[in-house]
Parts: sequence; structure tokens; C-alpha cells
Amino acid sequence: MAQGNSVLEVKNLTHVYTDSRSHVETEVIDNVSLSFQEGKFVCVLGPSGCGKTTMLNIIAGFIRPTSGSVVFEGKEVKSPSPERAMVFQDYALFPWLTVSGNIQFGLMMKNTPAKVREAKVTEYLEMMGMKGFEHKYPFELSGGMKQRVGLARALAVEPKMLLLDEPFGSLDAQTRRTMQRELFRIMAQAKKTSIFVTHSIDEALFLSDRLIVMSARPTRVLIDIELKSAKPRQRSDKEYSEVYEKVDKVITAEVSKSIE
Amino acid sequence: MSSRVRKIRENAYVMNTIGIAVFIALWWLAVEARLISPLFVASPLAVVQVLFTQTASLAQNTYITLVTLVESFLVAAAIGILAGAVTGAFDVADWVISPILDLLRSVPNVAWVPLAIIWFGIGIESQIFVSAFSAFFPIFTNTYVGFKSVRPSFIRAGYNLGASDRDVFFRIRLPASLGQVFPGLKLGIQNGMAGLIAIEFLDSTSGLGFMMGEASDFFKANIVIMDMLMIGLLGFALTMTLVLAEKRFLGWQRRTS
Repeated sequence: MAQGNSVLEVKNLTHVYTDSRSHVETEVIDNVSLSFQEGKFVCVLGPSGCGKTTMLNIIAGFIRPTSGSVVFEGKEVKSPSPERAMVFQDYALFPWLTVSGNIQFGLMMKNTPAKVREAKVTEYLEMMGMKGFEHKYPFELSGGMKQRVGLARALAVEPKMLLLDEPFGSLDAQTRRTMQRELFRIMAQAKKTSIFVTHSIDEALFLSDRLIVMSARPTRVLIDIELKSAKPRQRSDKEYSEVYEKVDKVITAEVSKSIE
Repeated sequence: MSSRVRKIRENAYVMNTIGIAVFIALWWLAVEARLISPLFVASPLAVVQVLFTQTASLAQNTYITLVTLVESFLVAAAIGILAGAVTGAFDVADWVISPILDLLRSVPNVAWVPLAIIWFGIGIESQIFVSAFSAFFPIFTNTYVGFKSVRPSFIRAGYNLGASDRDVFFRIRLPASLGQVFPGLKLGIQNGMAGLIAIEFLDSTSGLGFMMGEASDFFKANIVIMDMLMIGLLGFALTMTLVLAEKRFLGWQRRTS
């Protein structure tokens, strides 16, 4: 895989949100330009409510930006596509479908034959360490397991890119740590270009090849650095502690700015 | 089910039975002791007697009410679910259809009886019209709310996984709304029954509503009460049928307690 090949370009992205009742306009994203390279796992960090999720939703094609554009493999993004598969913070698993039904939903939309679909379900459940859970319903699963299914569902459509919107945001601290290690293991296997939105610096430092720190609303890029040291990183690593300190300082300043 | 839960449930059944038995006993005593005139409230025995003295009439009128109600309900369910789904899923349909229905909703169901009779005459057609109209609104409203309030992330996930508009409608909005549709159907049965009994009572030559009206003219409280019991039983049986269907279709909603 050619490194350094740009897969996705965010060009002069600006987004203004208009409240449908009060008609009050809020500027959410302020002229952001970014370029995402093939095969890289990029973490986007920022204070809560800063507009990083909005940016991800625009990249996914769920929202059209006020101005600027997102270009994916040379074509402007105008609508959602399985080429950019999303993993949702609230899992968004279909509760009326079994684990198997959820994982093969995207394949059914492509009219993939049943045999191929079944094979994919088995393959991805095995990757998630969830063999034998095919016929369970989402309500029977723990939060961590739900998000494994969410990840399997996104990977099963064989996307070119994976978008993860605070996927571990609703998990308790312990499960969250486990899921981070799991995601690291799965990504080493699946090797997908990914954008991972989070507000946890530890999570970002643990997983990413590149770290982007966004400001409070209207959001701009504050820090954009490549992490060179080998993954998985330890807290005791030199690069980890250096970057942590720098990012923490910037984010703390942003949070206090948004509180004022 | 644990044995403790089973025991509690068995106790509840015993309590239910005791409650009903005490109620009937008090009723019977009150009439026997002439605390209430049997002219107004017949004794339980006199009510049960109707089963034997009016067997043919009771069976025939119950059957007619049942069939008319089921027909009306099916019409209301078909139109109500279709209209509710389209109105809930598409804003344009919502803007066009909702104001008209909000206006019609404010007219009590019974107020449609005179117009129904002008349109269809006295007979099965006007009965189905009024009953179906009464059943329509709760079915429509619940379906509408269900389709309107589907979690946005379900719809986003659908499109993200390559679903077409059609797929999102049938494979996401529809199953996601069923939890709202079923309570609407149950309310629909009850409202449909209310509308049907009203028009049978006002303008009809058959059905439980008609039978009650006639018995009332002759001061036969025992027949009226038996008819009321049959209406209650019919409503209960039809609602239970829906509860079973709901369990079948909404098994995925079960919660582990």
C-alpha cells in the first residue's frame, strides 16, 4: 500500500448551524482544511461540543456543509456511502435484528448472496472474539459487545475508510481500556484508513498514527502532528508523555475558554 | 421463571378470583335484599338466565357485532398504518395531510352517524364506516409518531450501509415503529367497538348495540347487562389476540430484568 497517498481531502470547511425554532445561527466549523493519508489511523481530539463530530458527519455525508467541501478519492462527498463506514457512539445497532442480521445488513443492501454473507458474519465475529453470538439480539449484549458488533457491521461492507465517532464514549473506564486494546488488535489486522473522534487524550495517544487537536467552537485545527514511535504505546514512553503534556495544556486552555 | 415469581403470580390469580367473587356476591346480595330495585339492576342469576332464554338472539347478535368489528378494524388498520407511515416518514405528506386530520379528529366519532346514514343508509356499510373511522385515529396517530420518532442514528446507519430510501422505509422505519403501532391497534379496537355499539344502538336492526336498545325499551336490565358482558368479552378477546401478535413481532424488545 502506497503511503502518503491522500484518500480524503477536507477543503476550507465551514459550517453554520441554524436552530430551526429560534433561527439563531451558531458557527460550528471555521475554515478547516485537512488531508487524510491512506492506511493511517488519525485521531481527532477536542473539547466536548467543539464540532469534531459535526465534521465527521460531514465527511460521512450525513450533513452538507455551509461552505467548503469534502473530496473522497477525487469526488465530492454529497451523500453517505458504505465506502466510508461509520461506527456510532450510541452503537446504532438495529434492535429488531440479531447480531448476524446487523453484521450482514450492509451486504444485503448490495444483494450479496446468503452464503457469502454467512461466511462474512462468521469471519468478523471471529475477529471480534464473539464466536457463537450470531443469534443473540442487541438487548442481550453488554456495551462492549454491542460496539464490537458495530465495528464488525462497519467492516463487513469492506469500506475504504472507517469513521469512528467516540465509539467508546458510553462505556465504563475498564471496558473502555479493553476495547482500546481490542481495537488496536483489530486495526492491525484490518488495516483501514480511519478517522477516530474522541475527547480522551490517552485513547488518542494509544491508537493513533497522527493526532489532530481541534479548538472550541467555532472549531479550527490547533495541533496536527504525526506520532513516530511504535504502537501500542505505553504511558512511560518518551513521545507519549511529551505529546500528552502539550495536548493537555492546549485542550485545558480551550475548555476554560469555552466555559467563560 | 423462578419458583418465587411463580408463587407471586399464583397468589395474584387467587386474588383476582376472590375480587370477582366478592363483587358478584355483593351485587347479588344487594339485589336480593332489595337495596337496589331489580328493575334497575338485575340479579346475577337473572343475567345468567339470559344465556338460556335468549340463546339464539344473543349468539346471532354477538356474531354480527364481532364480524362487523373485525371488518371495520381491518379497514382502519390498513388505512391508518399506511397514512401514518407515509405522513410520519415524509415531511411533504405531513404538511398536507396532518392539518386535515387534526380538524377531523376534533369531531366526536358518534357525530358521524347522521352523515354515515345519509351516505350509506341503515345497514352494514354505515356501521363499518363509523366503526372504522373511530378505530382509525389512534392507529394513525401512533403509527405517525412511531415513524416520525425513529432514532436518527438508525436512519443514518441505514444510509451509511448502503440502504436506499425504500430500504430505509421498510427495513428501518417500519420495524423501528412497531413498538408504537401495536398500542395504537389496541386503542383502535376499543374505539372501533365504541363507535360500532353507538351506531348499532342508534340506527340498526341487529348487533349487540341494537339488542341492548331493544331490551332497554322493555326495561329488561338483565339482557342489557348480559349484552354489556358480551361486549366486554369481545373487546378483551380481540385485544388479547393483538397482545399475542405483539409478542410474536416484538420479541426483540424483551428486556432482561
